[in-house]
Amino acid sequence: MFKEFLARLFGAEPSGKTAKDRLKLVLLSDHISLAPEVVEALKTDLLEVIGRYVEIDTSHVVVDFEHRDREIALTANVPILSMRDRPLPPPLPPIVPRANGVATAPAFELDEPAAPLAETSPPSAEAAPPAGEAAPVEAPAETCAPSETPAEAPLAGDEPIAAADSPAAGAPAAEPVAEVPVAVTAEPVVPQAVTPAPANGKRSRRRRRKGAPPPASMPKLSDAAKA
Amino acid sequence: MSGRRIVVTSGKGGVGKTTTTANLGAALARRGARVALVDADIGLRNLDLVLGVEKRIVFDLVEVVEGRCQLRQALIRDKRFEQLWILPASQTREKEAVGEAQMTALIAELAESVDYVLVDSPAGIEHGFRSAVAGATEALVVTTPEVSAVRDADRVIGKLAERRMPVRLIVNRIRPDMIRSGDMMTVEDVCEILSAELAGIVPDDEAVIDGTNRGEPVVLGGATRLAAIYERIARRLEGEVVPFSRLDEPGFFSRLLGAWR
Amino acid sequence: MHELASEVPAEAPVAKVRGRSIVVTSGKGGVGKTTTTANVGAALAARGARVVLIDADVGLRNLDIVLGLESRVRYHVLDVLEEKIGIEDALVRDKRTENLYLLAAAQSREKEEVETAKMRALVEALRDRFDYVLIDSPAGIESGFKNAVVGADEAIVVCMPEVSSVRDADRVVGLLPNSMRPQLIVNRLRPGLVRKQKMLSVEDVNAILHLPLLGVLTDDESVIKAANRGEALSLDPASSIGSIYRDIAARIAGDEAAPKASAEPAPAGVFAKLGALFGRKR
Repeated sequence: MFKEFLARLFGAEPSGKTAKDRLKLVLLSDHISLAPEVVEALKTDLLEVIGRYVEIDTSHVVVDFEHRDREIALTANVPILSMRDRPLPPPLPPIVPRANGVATAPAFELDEPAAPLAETSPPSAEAAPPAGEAAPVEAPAETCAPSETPAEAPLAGDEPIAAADSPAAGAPAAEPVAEVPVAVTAEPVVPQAVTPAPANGKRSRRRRRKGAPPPASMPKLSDAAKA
Repeated sequence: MSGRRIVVTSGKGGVGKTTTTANLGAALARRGARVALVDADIGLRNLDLVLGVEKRIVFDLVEVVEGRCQLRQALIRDKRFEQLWILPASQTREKEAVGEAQMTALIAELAESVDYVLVDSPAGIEHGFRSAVAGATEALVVTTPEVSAVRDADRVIGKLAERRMPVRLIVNRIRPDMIRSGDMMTVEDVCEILSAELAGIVPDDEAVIDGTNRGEPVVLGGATRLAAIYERIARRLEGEVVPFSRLDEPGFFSRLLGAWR
Repeated sequence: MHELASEVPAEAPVAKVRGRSIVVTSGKGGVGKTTTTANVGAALAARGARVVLIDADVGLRNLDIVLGLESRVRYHVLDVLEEKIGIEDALVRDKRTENLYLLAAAQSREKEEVETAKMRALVEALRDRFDYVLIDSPAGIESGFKNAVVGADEAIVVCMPEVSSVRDADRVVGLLPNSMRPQLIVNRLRPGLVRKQKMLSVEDVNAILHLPLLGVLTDDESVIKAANRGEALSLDPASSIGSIYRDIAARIAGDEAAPKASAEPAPAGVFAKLGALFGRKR
């Protein structure tokens, strides 16, 4: 006990506090190991977000939790293949059809006319955020989800899968999502003058980086649909 | 209306499940409830010993489940209390002798005749634990403010949450002097880490050892501090809002210290 | 991980004596199996032996946290048994003692997932590389206990001087094969209560169990504090509990210089020593 007193005199932490700190960490570690599905979902979402900014080699990704002395850290080793010219839009929220089977339009205003949408197959008109039951979805200002077609247009010609990839990867409960990208990427959409894209020729040159692997390396839409 | 079915469990062994079952059961009985205590630690029975009825065992839980006797033949009435019965475990059999379905049926049958069924769970999270929990609709998790005990309690609370079972916590064997000097986690620390509703705080007390030696639950002692604590836990269980006593009062501390040294 | 591989003893040459495998068990929970495994293991390693500790409490692991190694555990016994990882990669070396290693239990698995035959094989394999394999058994007598016992040649039964514990220990001794020659450690004795006849004495306990006495430990706050910190008391030269564990390790190692196990342990703790100094009645 004297030793304890001396230790405290010189600033050593009382063991009760040490116990509490250690316990919190070890329980966090225990909980992580007890919820593999949650960890998987976290990894999937993480890669989806990173993949919007850079092209990644998904087959060599290592995401892990490290239990260090005083903390637990999420570590991710993500091989990057190339930088995207501009970030991909985030995935569309899943469609939740209403009781009468028709999804409603988004709750927010579109920046661009929906004309291109009208020319593609009808399901894109339903490429809208959840209706009815679900809470109103807040779409990020920079990416108008329903006008996904125009926003993606610069990419569609070269990386059609990329567009498909985002919603698929981002939505673990994927059933409604699978419907959305189908319409959008059914055929490469010729960009209208909706986004500040350069002329076709320049664009395609910009799009294709040297050494960039073909889009086929990205998770495929068909994979997402199976998921 | 059938009685409440509460399992007393912990994960970690030796933290006071059996002591809690015996004393809480006795406290509830003292307050006029009809109480049945079930020892679910098949092969390592101890509830009988703690209550001093080990010499009166004729039939046990396994024999009831196997239909070799009636439930009422196996129940031992503790005459020191108005209406308290004990269903002992088998000492020679293995836990696999009783499955979850059988336990559920047994506890349900018992609950028809009493206000409370308290099931004393074995340590661990194996078959015996699962059977003990199967019969219950509520849980009391017992822990001490020590790292291993809290870690195991956390695991058990997780397993109970999977079964959507309401959980209340009893923090047992606290040593106020060690808490005061910072050498033991506080009850608040434990509750924060486990985030469960607190049902009781019980200090470490040599009277428990003495009671076990003699087969007398401490509640029998009448007006002792421990008896009062178990009585308050019983009241909380019955839905009353009872504040927790201040265990760091000087008188209490010196009494504990004196007892220890 | 690489450096670990080179530190673990490689396959032994033919003439080497195989290590001993000892299970630490009790029946009753909370009597000190894990604390004993950790401290005896550390003490044996401090004497120069190569020691591996196996935590057989799948789902409720605690040997790691008692040794302060919880942040270093990456893999566990089931990973090894299921051949997802080699033994060397799963072993965690102790922070303080070079030749002390831990093989942790799986936290998110169930005891029933351990295959008995594989567990036995694992212990056999470890005996080729270590002088001592200590297996920390879970409480109870269910499959966890059985798998802990299966690879062991010897047993240490830990018992508190308290009726439930003695009864459970008795049951467990009955379940162990005679060839294991179980020895007894009496833990958490309170000599003051024994003197007042409010607690069983060591003789009382052994009158029922009839086991060779390996050691007697008194109830001591320092055990709780050490667990809070994740430190083995047997590595603390100033700890009286540590010194008892060191004596136990010496007896296990067959050290003739070790004092004989006494049913009357010396009182532990500073106050007790002070009390003796001033003649205070205890």
